[in-house]
Amino acid sequence: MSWYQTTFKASDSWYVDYIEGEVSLDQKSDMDLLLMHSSTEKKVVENLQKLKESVKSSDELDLPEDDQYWQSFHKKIMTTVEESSKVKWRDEKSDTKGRRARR
Amino acid sequence: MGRWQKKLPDHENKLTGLVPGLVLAREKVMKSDHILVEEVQQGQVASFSALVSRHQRALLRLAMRIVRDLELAEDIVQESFMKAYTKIDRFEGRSTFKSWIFQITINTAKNKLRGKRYEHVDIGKVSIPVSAKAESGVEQADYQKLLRDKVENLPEKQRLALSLRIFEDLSFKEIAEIMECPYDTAKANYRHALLKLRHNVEEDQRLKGWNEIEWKDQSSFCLEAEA
Repeated sequence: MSWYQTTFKASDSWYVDYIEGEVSLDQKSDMDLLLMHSSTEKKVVENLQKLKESVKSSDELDLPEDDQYWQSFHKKIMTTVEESSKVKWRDEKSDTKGRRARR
Repeated sequence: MGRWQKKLPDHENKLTGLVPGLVLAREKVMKSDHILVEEVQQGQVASFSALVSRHQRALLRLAMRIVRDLELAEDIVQESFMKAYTKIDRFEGRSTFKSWIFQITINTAKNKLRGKRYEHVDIGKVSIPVSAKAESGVEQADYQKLLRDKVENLPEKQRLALSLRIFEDLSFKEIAEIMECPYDTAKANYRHALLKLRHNVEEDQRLKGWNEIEWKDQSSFCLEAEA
């Protein structure tokens, strides 16, 4: 048995699929019923959901918010792209000329 | 005339002449990535500008999560867009443009990290100051750091699947495209990541009571699964 099989109950995978919306309608109904009648199982599902939310909250990135930054970043990217586009067009042009000369 | 300078079809030129306002209005309508990519492949650099505007924030977030350095992340995103532009002719649309450029960004970031000798911090060697106010365990900021470190210590594919799902809110289909693996494998990587993370958190005495902390409004918590 793999480490996962010995460490986690088979039902744990169903719980993850359930909170991710990856279960069929029938399976969802069964799970809804189970959670309604078992506070233990409901707690397991709630803890998994909470863990997801905790992970998301634990890593809020400190990225610039102002539009000026993003406009400037966009411009920087497009300048390089446009330069590369001109080089590519020049290469195409000289390539075509070379082929004509060789004929 | 080179590949990058194809003429517009005649009917479009006539339309422009007759109803310039119509063209202007059309340009302002949001085009799908698929259409923008086709236009770039036909030589319209302006369409690539629209793709950059649309995806630059998500890509910078993604790069930042991998390298944790804004300047380096900016370089990675710039390089990724460059690679996408130069290889756009080879893009056949088997995945979405978003998945494709995410994949390019991840690979570019990994290559940069290899070059910079990225060092993992061993959580066991980090001393976390405990506030005198804390009655048990550690305070919220410390929980966050410990949790972040536990995510960082997950196996690479599991960490990636988890990050793409939780932070970027991608579907498993998109995650599978980015990771170039079957749908079920992407889901399995995510599942294993979340369960392993839960196990590691519950085993760590420093994170005792983590699930009692109200970090977010729980009123939106919903047990409804998508159909």
